[in-house]
Amino acid sequence: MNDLEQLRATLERHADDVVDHDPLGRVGSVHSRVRGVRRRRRAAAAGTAALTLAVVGGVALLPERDAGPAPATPTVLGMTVPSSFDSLGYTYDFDRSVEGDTRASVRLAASDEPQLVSWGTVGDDDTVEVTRYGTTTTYTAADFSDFVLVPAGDATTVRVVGSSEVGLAVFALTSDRPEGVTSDGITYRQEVAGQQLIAAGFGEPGEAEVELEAAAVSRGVRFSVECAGAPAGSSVHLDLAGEEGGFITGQCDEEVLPFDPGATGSVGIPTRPGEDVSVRAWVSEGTEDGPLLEDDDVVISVAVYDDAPSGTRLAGSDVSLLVESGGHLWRLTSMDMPAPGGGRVSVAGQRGRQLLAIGFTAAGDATVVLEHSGTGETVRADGGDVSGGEIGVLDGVQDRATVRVLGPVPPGAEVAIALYVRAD
Amino acid sequence: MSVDFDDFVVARSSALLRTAYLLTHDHASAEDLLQTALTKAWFAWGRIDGNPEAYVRRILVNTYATWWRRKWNGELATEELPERHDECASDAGDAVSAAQDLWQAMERLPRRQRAVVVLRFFEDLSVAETAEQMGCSTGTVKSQLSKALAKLRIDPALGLADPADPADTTDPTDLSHLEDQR
Repeated sequence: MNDLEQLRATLERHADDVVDHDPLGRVGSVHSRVRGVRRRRRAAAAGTAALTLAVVGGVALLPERDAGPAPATPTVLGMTVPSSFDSLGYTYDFDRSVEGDTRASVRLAASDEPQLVSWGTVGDDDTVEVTRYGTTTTYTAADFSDFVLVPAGDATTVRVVGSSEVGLAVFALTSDRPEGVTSDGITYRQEVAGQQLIAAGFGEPGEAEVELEAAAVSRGVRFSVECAGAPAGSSVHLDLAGEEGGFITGQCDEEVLPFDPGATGSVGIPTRPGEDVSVRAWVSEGTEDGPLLEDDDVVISVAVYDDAPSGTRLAGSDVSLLVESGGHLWRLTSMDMPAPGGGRVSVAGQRGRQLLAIGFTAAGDATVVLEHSGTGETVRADGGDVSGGEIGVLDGVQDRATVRVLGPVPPGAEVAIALYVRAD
Repeated sequence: MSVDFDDFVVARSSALLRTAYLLTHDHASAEDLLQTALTKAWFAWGRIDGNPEAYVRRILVNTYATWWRRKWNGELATEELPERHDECASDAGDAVSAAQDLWQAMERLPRRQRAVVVLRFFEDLSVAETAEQMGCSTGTVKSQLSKALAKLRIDPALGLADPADPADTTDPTDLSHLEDQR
């Protein structure tokens, strides 16, 4: 039998282990999150897409989107541009373009749908610089064969810089939807990063409850539940059947269901093939055992995806064999880690193919940084037993991804980088 | 409310980070939870009447209790099992032997129970204050506390008596209020 003094001492001891490295830096991080929340709220309020194109340094605004139909075979700078791109099952049609002398930019207002931007140059540039969200990435492709994705809800300026005339082409989402379960334009895709959809359901507006009957097909499933349109303070609940059954609760504070909900917002459990993983999702008033919400505007959706662990592990984490990033599908190709006891790993890009670098760390209380040499972006993790995150795309030998422990390397610390190649 | 938000974050967020860590048992999750709570507090900062730290802690605890990590497409999933239906289980599988570390045992507690333990025995809040922070009744706090202590193999009666709260007339030996919250 334990006693309360032991409990208090345990809590005190572990609280004392917390070293706050950067309370000042936290101020900036919180303000950044505040800006993100405001942006999403504005996007939700805006409802429909708005788009403005402008040539850098010029005064002329190009026609608005509905000023005329796009040509059947679009050309920019005399180059043929794809009439459409496929991205993770969604189709985007050429919408409009902008050209400039060594540089061009397009301002994309927040939209409730994602948009793609492609680029090209008439010169023999080995690389062009593409900037969005203020971060510049160097790409070797400069012939409208690649794109960057601007997610729904984001507003940004995409800029391309080359040594000669350059152009940007904007692609707008079509009404076509990928295979899967779709309701009111929102789709749970049949396949997300190699994971198969087992079941999905949407409630009708005003229906605050959805039930699904499903059976696991392998050693794990993940649940995706989304909720929107509820009054402030409402909660969404997920009751799970099965051997690992239980419940989870989250806040229902979005104004609209997110685009591509199967790719975000999920919780996973281990299963046996054939196991019952039926689920009930519902929205309540308030957070504490409130009654089923009655509201004409509430919408709720839930999906079950197969989510078997890959069995490949780095720094204590399961490594996905397929991931989605930037509107592309990527397949695991290699993993890099230092010798035991090492606190730093760094890998360079390769000529002729893009790589996506994802860092993994298990470094106890130590601070770990994940760095991309090209973009200059650094992710700093102050402590964290097991964590990981995307470092970015390495497009050519000039790009390098690094994960390193700052200061002394704790015993047993692990850092690693997984590299993925395009699989779409 | 005259306290500047940025000044508050610099001065008091370290203390809140410790609470967040005791709740999450993970440094990265604690930082994420704290920033999430501070972000929510930012939008209400001008309307806070009274102690902002108590206000932010309340957001933090309730965010934790009703929160699951949102997974970005392709990002590493944090394996996080949901709470079990059988919250009040006291079977051998859930029981913690005296030899086991209480810290590890706390990891098995459902979130609300863990939150109640942290508020009551780390923050030293009374049952009433804990209930206020959790946004629930004192009966719920006592119920959750009893279940948590039972799983930690601590005599539940020890944690129910609330000498700091003269209004608390709970008979430590009377466990009739331990209704199933589900």
